[in-house]
Amino acid sequence: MNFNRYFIASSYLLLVVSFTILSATRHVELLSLMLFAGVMVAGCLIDLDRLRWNVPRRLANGLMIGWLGVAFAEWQLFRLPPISIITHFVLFASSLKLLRQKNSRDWLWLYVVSFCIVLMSAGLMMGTTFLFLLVVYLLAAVSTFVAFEIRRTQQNFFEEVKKQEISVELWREINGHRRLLAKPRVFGLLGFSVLALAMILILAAPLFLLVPRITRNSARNSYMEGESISGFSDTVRLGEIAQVKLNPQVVMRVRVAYPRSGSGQQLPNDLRWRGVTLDRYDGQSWNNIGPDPIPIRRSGESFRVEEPNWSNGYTEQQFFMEPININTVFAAPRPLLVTGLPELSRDLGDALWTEIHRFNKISYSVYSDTSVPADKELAEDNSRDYPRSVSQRYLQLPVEHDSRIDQLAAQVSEGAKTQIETIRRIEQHLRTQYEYSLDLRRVESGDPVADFLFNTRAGHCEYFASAMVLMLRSRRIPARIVNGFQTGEYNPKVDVFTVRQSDAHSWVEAYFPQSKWVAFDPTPSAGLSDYGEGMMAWMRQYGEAFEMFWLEEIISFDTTKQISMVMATQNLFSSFQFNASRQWTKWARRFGHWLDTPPGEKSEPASQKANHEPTGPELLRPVTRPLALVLLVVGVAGVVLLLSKRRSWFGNSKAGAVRPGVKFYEDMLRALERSGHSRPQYQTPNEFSAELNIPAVAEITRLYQRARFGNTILTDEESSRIESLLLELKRQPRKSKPKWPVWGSFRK
Amino acid sequence: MLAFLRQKKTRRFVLVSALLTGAALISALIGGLASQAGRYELAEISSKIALGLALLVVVYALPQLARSVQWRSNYAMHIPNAGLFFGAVILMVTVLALSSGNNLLYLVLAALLATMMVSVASARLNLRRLKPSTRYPDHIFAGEPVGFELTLLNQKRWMPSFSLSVDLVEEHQVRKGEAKSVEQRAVALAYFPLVPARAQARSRIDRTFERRGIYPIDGFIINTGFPFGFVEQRRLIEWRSEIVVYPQPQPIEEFASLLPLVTGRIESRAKGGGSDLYAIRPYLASDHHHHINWKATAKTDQLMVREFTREDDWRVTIVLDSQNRDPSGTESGFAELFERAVTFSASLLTHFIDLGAEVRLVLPDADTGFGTGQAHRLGMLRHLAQVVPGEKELTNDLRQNSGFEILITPKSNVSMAMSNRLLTRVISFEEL
Repeated sequence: MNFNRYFIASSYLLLVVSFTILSATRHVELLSLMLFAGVMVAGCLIDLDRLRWNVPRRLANGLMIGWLGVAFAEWQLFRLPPISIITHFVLFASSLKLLRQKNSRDWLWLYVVSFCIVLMSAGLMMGTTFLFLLVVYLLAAVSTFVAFEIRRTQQNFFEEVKKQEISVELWREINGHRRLLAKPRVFGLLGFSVLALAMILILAAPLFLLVPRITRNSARNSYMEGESISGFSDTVRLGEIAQVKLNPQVVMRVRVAYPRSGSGQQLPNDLRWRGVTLDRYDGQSWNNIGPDPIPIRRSGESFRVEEPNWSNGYTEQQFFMEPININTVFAAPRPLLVTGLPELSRDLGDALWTEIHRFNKISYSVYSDTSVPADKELAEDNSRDYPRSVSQRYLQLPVEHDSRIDQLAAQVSEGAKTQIETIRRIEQHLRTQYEYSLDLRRVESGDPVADFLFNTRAGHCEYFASAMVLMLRSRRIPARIVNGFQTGEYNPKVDVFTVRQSDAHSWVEAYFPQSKWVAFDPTPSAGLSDYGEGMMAWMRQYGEAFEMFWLEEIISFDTTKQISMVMATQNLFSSFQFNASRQWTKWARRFGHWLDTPPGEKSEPASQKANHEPTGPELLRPVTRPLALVLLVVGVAGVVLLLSKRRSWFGNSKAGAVRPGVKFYEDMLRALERSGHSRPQYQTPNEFSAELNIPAVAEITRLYQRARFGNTILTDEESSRIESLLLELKRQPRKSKPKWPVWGSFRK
Repeated sequence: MLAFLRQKKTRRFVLVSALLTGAALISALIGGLASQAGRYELAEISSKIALGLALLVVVYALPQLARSVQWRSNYAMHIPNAGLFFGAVILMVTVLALSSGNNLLYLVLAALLATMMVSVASARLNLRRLKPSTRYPDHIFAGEPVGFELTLLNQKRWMPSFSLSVDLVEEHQVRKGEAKSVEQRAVALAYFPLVPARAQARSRIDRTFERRGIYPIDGFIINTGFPFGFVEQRRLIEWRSEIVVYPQPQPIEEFASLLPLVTGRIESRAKGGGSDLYAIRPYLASDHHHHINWKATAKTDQLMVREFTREDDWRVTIVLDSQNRDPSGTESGFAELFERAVTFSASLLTHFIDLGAEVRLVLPDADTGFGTGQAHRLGMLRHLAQVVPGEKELTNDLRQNSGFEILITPKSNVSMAMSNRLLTRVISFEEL
């Protein structure tokens, strides 16, 4: 690939990546993208001289002005959002630039547009996709600008030298032989681009952390609309959740901060993330008929949902929610305390609600009482004396109720002595006698629960939970549906549970007068998510880990984290200072003790030493005194060396001494260099002397030749003469260095 | 990387400095420990020793280190329009990031800042350890294209250098009104898109010097805008030399109308005179090969030439009077006339040298003496290359046997004394 093609390829890669980023925001229609892709191909062919077509500049300008009318029509007639109108204009203007022979200015225009697109997309995207595309964009940008700079400088040079044909020859000297090198290839540029990108990323990381944050990180991603999830509203049609179960989209990530899953502490059994509760069944769908949720008063930074009783044990969870189109607050059962949310309310079904966060990710923490009473304990809680509010809401059955359900419930629970026994028998019956399936085939058009129980005998969690609730209610046990999520896939890399839409789940809560609401799950184990193992799971975990890092450390990075980072660094230094100071004191004490101990005596009593592991300084003690001696000798040696050097500085050209031939000649050369005459390597002393035509130089050179090659010892007079000549040369005014002008003052 | 340690002097310096510093530090350490342990006498002694050794380090090492520091940088940096634009973009993204708090914009901002840093650092690295050298002909005539060859050695072990343009910095005399000044001009010599590590690149370019003169060379400038063109850096490499541009001799026919007598006499003498053998001497580079005496060469085993007696008529003295009648420069056209006079002198001496005459050039500041051959001609041309109009009058005492004398002068009326001394021809600038 020649340089020109490399430049074109790199430039188009830059454009392609930037428009890929734009398309990843989902604000460009497929048709526009396809048209623009066609324009890019045509533009590339024009640049490669495969297509001879050129949109005249005037026509292009006219069309661009004309497009303003189209933009107005889009705004007024089609009511398109501003972002779409801007995108269309950018695509059109870029197309006009692409469909012509481009000069440097056109290319720069396209680069600037591509950068503006990236900036705009930064406000429209937030996932790791952006990071990946940004890195590719940076690589393309580095490569393109490198090529562009070379191309521009080369063009300027050729213009300056009046377009002479100039050839460059490259070679390398290896062992005195000249080896011609091939014409430089573009791979060198690509290699440099990769290296420069690595450097940019390495430098950008600390810069990102250090750039001061002023405003709160709240206005971001205001264009992005989150996923909408079925099954988490006041009304849920039976079967809706099946669609959700097929969606692998991540809904949230949950870190169980206490007890820590990675620390060997036991996590609560059947940990599930509770969402909404549904109490009324009309034969087709479930409703929540209670009044509006009641706001909970904020207490400091947190909301106290229930009076905490920490003695039961609690579970602390941190939720990192993706943007979703619901305002449910998910939590492990029996939430006590919630922090990190702007507002919180609670309905009669004990579900928690906050403001809708369809536009941004949120994170919050919940402390829940996850203790579950044992069956034995529940067996004693067998009173049927339910509060009126409970019996009114949670014993309701549809008006046209299928009596077969009552018969089945009675049949299954026949002989059960306690409430818990009835519940367990029904739960077990459903788990063992029915199959789990997402492929729903109706046989009857009536009650879907009856159809599930008596015809299809297969369904998903919603059917199992509905059947159990109806059966319990027919046995006069208050029960309700709970929609939420299973625990999710545990990722040990970042210690979080990744919860996807496919983890959506329905289960049952039954009421006990003492223990209140207790969860039961009639869905067979086939209905529980299986995350698999092996390479795919491993890769998924690492991907999730990176996503989590992105979420926690990049997207959520703010002033608070910045301050805590500074504080952590400060603490590190303080800790180091403290340890160093302590160590210093320890060494000083041992040093004093060592000085007080006469030679040959043990420094510590044997009894003390027996249980004492020798430390570093103690191990060194036998060699400390010799070491001190060595150091002293070394110091003295240094001084002696120094003094010996000083003697040579003063010189020894006293009477009778003959200075080495080279020395005074070298002195002369140095003196001449200061006055601006340096001897080129190729010149002999005589040639140099002849060129300078300075009598003193000629005389010293003559004496040098005699002393150096004539095997003659210079006399005292000659030595003195040399000294005086050297002095004369040294007194010559120093030649000033050329004054290099400041940038730009050279005349070309 | 540690090549500097190969020098004996440096090794010694590093060793002594390290020893002294190490000993001072250990003494200080012992002093500190003793002080902490309550042994104040020992602490005092150790501290004094440490202080003494530290003083020695200061006296010994610091001056040498200071000498080795290059206080004046040979690097210069410039931010072109592209860099200013990039700076504006950084400013814009900063404002956007600060106002929105969007961390992705902070990420873009960090990448932009890092790009600027990488740009500055890699441009500096790009210029490191480069050694330019140039070759050009020894004899350059004005108006004649000559080839300049530039070789650039990249001494870096691993890193190639990209996008380098090399300029030669020459000094040019410029005249602004009455004032004359010397200005430096950067002349583009070569552009290398890539010079691999440990490799040399060579490029050749044709240059034409329009005017004769001596062009002192101050050095090279290596420019680079690499990698992104946001920052341009240049490295100044001192390399003193000079380019001598001779005046371009013209065919003498152009001036034939001025010299009917002179050329006629010279040519008539060239046919018959100067044939008496004067001596046989060893060959010199400036001798014509026709004069080699092969018999003597064979006998003595070295090249010998015949030296002939010369008559006065074979000698030509060219006198160029460079005294400026109008130093204020108000009279227009003098400079052009003077240049034409110089060209005429060059043409004359070339013509006579080619004819085999002994030629001498006399200027107010120089007298080349008589001589023949190309070396002598080039020597005279060198004088002509640097002659400039001045206030100095011709004071040379012309010898009796100066042969034909041609005075080229700006004066219209030459004084009697001068015209008496000059036997043959006086040509004023106006005639040229």
